[in-house]
Amino acid sequence: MLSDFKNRRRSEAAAPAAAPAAATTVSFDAARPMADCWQHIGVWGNGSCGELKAHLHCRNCPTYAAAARHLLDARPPAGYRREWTEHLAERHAAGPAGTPLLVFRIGDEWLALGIGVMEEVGETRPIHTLPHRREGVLLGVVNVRGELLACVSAGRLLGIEKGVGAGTVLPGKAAGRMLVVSHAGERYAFPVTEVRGVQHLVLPAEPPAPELDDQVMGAAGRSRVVWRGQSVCCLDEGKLFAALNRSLA
Amino acid sequence: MLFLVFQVGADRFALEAARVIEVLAMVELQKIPGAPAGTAGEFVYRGEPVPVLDLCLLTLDRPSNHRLSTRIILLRHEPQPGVMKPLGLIAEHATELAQKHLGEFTSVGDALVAPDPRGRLRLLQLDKLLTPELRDLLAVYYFTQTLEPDAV
Repeated sequence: MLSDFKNRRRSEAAAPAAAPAAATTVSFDAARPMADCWQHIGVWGNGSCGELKAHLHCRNCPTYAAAARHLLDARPPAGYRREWTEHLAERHAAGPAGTPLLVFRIGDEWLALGIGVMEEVGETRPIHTLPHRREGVLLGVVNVRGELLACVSAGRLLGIEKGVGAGTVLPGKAAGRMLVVSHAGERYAFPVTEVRGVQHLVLPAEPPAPELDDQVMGAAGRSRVVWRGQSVCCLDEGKLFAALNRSLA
Repeated sequence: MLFLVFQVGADRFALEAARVIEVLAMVELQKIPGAPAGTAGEFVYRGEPVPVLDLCLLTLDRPSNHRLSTRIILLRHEPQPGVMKPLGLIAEHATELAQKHLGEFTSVGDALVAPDPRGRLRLLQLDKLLTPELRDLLAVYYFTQTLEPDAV
């Protein structure tokens, strides 16, 4: 199907009279009859397109989006309807058991936090330190979509030793992430070493008896579960935010 | 508010995303015997039959075109107050989402229209589109579903 599309685009490019089919869908397309302009004057071409000043990259440009929409206007392949009919008629199997939690790592410690408080998983960004607040849990403030948020060190709050954590890092995921969490009107950002996405973990109904030397569990933990051979500490949202508020007061 | 954007012919329409259960690929539909104009048929969604209306048939008197971008919008329909039932709508070019405030929609004739970078967006008012015959059909359709299987 994709090759059909490419061939059709080429034939349209060769015969500009046939091209305006796409032009009707985008308002300012008329000035640019080129069908696959991104290959010629866009970022995959010589980069001479004037629109690049406004959009920076072809993927932000409405012309590129219009071409993508055009791709979806292709005729469905044989058997497409049949397949979907059968697929949708099936009843849902029972969803994954367990509580959905975002699993992440700080140093050597694996943690999990409910997705209800999770607002954003973003890239790390500069932390602007505050005068006279060099120690303690507050690291400074960070800019999250134009809003300044208190950036805290969850590691210090939970008493996690700075670990190397080498060997467990997935390739391409070692850069670290900034999590933005909110609970009852309080919003914080905190850096983590690695995020492993949302996992459905089965939490024990009864919280186990706390072990005396388990500092993380003592600080804000709900329970510990074993996930892929690692012990993950599931954090309690209420306890975590209460501890954060206490430490910033 | 998030809106699902699709086309009926050349007109672009918006539907509150909160009402949408799922946007489905086009499936094979079974005809509903004796159904009035505008009905496309029915299909089985997760073990439950769902009636499907064709927006192009309803407003333009022609069936929707047969493209990948022609999809079934499965939405929560309220045939009676407090009763939510799934209803499928066939729409062309159901490929986009738009962020709009309800206040941006202004009344033009009997339509609610909002400006948009690619022309204007009409708010889909399903209640105005449904003819009395279609209402009757849906009422009967949903009612027979509530009966015990051996009673039908």
